[in-house]
Amino acid sequence: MTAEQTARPPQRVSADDGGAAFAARLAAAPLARLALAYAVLVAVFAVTADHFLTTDNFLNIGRATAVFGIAALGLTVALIAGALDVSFGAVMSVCGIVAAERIAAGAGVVTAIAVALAVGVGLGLVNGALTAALRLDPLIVTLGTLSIFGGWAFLHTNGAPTPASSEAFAKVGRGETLGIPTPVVIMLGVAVVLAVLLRWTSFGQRCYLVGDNARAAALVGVRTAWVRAAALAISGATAALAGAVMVANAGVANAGEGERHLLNAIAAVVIGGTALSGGAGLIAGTVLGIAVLGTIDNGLNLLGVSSTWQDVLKGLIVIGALVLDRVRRRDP
Amino acid sequence: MGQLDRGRRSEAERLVRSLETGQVSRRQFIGRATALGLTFPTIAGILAACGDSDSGGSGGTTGGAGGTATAEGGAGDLQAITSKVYPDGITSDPEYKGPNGGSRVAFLPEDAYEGTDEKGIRKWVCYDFTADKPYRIAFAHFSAKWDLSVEMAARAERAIRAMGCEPLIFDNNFDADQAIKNVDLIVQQQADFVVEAQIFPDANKAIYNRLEAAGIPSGYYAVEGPEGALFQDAGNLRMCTALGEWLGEYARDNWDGQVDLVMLAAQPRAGTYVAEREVGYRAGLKKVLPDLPDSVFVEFDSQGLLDESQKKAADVLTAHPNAKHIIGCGSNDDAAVGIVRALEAAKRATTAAVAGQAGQASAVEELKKGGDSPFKVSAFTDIETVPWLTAIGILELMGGEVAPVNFLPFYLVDADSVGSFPPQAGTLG
Repeated sequence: MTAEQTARPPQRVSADDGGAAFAARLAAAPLARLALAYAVLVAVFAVTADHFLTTDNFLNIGRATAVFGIAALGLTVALIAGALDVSFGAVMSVCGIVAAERIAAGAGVVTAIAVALAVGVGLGLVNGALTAALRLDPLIVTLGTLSIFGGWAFLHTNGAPTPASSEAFAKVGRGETLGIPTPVVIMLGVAVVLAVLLRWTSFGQRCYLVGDNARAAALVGVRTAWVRAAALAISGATAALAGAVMVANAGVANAGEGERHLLNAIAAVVIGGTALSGGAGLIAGTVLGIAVLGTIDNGLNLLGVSSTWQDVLKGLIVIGALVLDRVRRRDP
Repeated sequence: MGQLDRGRRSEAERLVRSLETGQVSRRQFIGRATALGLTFPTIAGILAACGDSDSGGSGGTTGGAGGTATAEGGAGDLQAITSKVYPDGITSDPEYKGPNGGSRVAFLPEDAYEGTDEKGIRKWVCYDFTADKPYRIAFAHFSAKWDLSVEMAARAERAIRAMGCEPLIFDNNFDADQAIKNVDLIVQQQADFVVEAQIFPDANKAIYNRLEAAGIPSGYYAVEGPEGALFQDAGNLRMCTALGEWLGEYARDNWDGQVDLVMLAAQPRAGTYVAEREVGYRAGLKKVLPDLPDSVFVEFDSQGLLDESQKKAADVLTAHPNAKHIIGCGSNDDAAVGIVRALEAAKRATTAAVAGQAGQASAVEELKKGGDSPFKVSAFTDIETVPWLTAIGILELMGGEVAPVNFLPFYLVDADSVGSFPPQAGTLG
């Protein structure tokens, strides 16, 4: 299955088709359906929650979602290639600590982030190499490395926080670029790069192919292990970037911080329509998934709904998205 | 520290005036003065100056197997300290109800130390106390993943050895199941007394029941055990009441008492004892600003996490666009720093004051910024006081009478004092 097949744009609608047919076709497109659902969500909160429909509030939503959003984007690539990477939370922690240590050692912001990215890519490649060498499901491998990387973060720091006191570094997590929170700009930049990668490069097409049917991909000459390793390296890189942004915002790196973003990131990818089995999904869908999660949190906060109910609601939405995904894939 | 010292002095002066005018009894005076950190010679002097000297504080006795001792006894004698801290009727606070429903509360006075050791660590006088038998004392600490917890365990181990007992150290790994499994090992190793430090109140009840069934007494650190169980902490209510008063005084002195919004970054899932922090913040603020309406208080679930608190605080600020003078109260320092980040992002930090507690690294970094940050004050407890509960347990084993709830000193640390406050971790090398 290719990107075109999974994210086929709605066909041109002639005047004869009429509004009903257009609506039906629109509703049949997963991305359009999600966009519609998001529009309804926004409309509901706009009516029910005071101060929801303001620019500042949408910037708040962006700020609240950027860290797990950056990680979710890389995770989308890995998942499309059939590699569910659950180690990215630990990679976030490790790379956040690495960035903080570089900053504490007097390195510049670019150097600190570059080193963190290199470590993230390296850890992603470790995941890929283990998956290929041991011929294991990536989920199993990354479950193991989640524990290994996370444990290393505690061993390395003895559980002590690593301060990252640099004004320049803080701007990465708390600053603004052209009036938009810098973490949001970073997230959107990553989204554009990965969308282009998936849509217009042969590597992107191979990710879909390997994720959809690895055996068939291998038969037509695709080096499936390499593709998955590269996809996991991308997931590692975005996790590293997310970890650096997370630490830049907090001003302190703590072991175990990244792991808390696991559920939100996976939920955003799933809500965005990426198949857990691989081979289908779009970056735009994940962006919408991130927006849906952030908007639900924000709108319910403004309405004063307790966070316990928010958790329940989020869980129901994730299950609902998975059920819809299954129903959709059964349909001819 | 100047402002803090001034605050404590003024509180002490108010207390003395209350004693003079008869608003507080001598018994209440001693309890509150001890909580304020006044030394016993000072308290005795004030009592003498204010009238008769029949308090009994100086001559209190303990029922411990080690015999009786006077409060003026040698500072290196645990019996002397305990008689200072909780002889019958001396430091009990009958007004206090909780966390275990009890009202007999003990306070560890600041003069429970004598000098510093060769590494500059304050030396705890209990090191001079020797138990009557080499008891096996188990200390199950929060997690080896938390540097402060590792340091707590190291201090407990050192103190237990110094008291002539055998330490058994366990790692609860921030995990209720692990904590309960550790209890089985503790029972197997035939400990005589157990100190439990773990974060789940319900698990403490299960732990207490298992230990009780095995005939092993236990004490709980920072998170309460079941009703009546030995407990030690700085005291969420008293600590956050002090922070609330500090914030109230800040608002009174800088904003003419005008407060438009109070954000309480709470941890409702952490149990009723932790919830006393918000109760304390409210009480402290209302004590200084009695006309503060309930409508300005907004409480949210921060989970004690920086980013969660930041997210929720940002939404609260969105919902209150006209609030100018804003107070933020963190259930811990990370939650408080989350409020700070939200204020900064909303460009509303210049007319805000935020407090936290715990001495977390995020707070230290914020406080170091001085006037540039709305983070104004945090309450730090002293890691050196952690082993006190082991001493209380040993005293109980020796037949001594102990208070069920034991409060430790804490320090309000601001931008002026953060540089001089001893580090919370890393001092044992």
